[in-house]
Amino acid sequence: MKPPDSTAVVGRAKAGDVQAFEALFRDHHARVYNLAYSILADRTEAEDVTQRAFVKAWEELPRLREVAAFAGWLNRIAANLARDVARSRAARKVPANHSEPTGDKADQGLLAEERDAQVHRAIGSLPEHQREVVIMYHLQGVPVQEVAEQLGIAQGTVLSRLARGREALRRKLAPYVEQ
Amino acid sequence: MNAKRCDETRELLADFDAGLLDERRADEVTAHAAECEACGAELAALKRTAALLDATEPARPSRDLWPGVAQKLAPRQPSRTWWGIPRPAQMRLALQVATIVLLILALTVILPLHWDQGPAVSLPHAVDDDAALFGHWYAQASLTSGLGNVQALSLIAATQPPEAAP
Ligand SMILES: [Zn+2]
Repeated sequence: MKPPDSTAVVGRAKAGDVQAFEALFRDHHARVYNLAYSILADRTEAEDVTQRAFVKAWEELPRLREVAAFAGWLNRIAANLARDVARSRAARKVPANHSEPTGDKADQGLLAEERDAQVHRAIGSLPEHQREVVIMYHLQGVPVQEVAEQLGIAQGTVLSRLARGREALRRKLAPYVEQ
Repeated sequence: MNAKRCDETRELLADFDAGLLDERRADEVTAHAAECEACGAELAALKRTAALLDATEPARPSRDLWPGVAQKLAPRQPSRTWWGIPRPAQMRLALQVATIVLLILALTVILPLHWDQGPAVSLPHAVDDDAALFGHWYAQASLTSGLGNVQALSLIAATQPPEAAP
C-alpha cells in the first residue's frame, strides 16, 4: 500500500516534481475517493472532490511540515472539501444522488449493493478520526501499523479509534449484524 | 445475570475485540461472555460488524481521475533554494525578537554604564555642542562595549537624552 520511500516521494512532490506527485496520487487517491464518497454518498461528487483535493494538496504542499503525516493531512483536505459540498447541497435542499455502483459490481446482487451502500453511508456518519481508520483498515486492508505510520499516530490510537468506530457501526448496521 | 456485570462487560467489549484490554480484564470479559447469552450475542454482533466491513467493496471511481488533476496543476519550479527563506510570518517574528534583543542590550549595557562610571555619563548634559555630544556617545558606546559601528550607532539613537535635541 505504502511504498517504503513514500516520505522521500512526498519531499520530491513538495519541491515541485509532478511525477512524484502522480505517484502520490496513485497511492492515495482510492482512500481519498472513499473518504469523500462516505461523506457525500454520490460518486460524481466524490470524484470531483477527489480531484480538487489533489489540486489543493499540490498548492499547499510547500507549506506541509510533517512530511511523514502526508496521508492524514490529505484526508483533512478531502474531508473539508466534501463537507463543504454536502453543506451547500443541504442549503440547496438537493438530495444525494445515490448513484448505482458500476463495472465489476454489476454481477453482484442488488441486496449486496444496497448493503454496501448502507455500510458506506454508516461509515460516512462516523466522526472524522474513526472514519479514516475504518476506511483504511477495513475497506482498503491497510495493516494497523501502516495506518499508524501514514496518519502519524500511535498503533494503540488506531486500535482504539477502530474499536469506537466498530462499536458505533454495530448499532448503525444492526439489521445486518444481529441474529 | 448480574446487570452491573453486564453493563461493565458491554463497556469493554469493543476494546476487548480490538485486543486493547490487559490480560486480567480480557479474561473477565471472556468468562462473562461465555456464560451470559446477551453479552455473548453482543460480542458476536461486534465481530460480525468487523466481518461486514471487511467484506464491503471500497467505492471505485468510474474513470482515471489523474488527467483531470494533472491539467490543473500550476507549475512549481523543482528547487530547494527557497527552503531556507523565512516566510513573512517568521520574518515578522524575527523582527520582533530582534527589537526585544536590542532593547535588552540597550538596558543591560547602558544602565551598568550609568552605575559604574558615575560622573562620566553625566557628561552629555554638560556638553551643548551637538557634534561633540555625538562624538562622545559614539566613542563611549563603541569603546566600552566593544560594539561594531552599526550597533554603536543604534545604541546612540536609542539612548540619546532629550537634552541633546537641538
Ligand atoms: Zn452479560
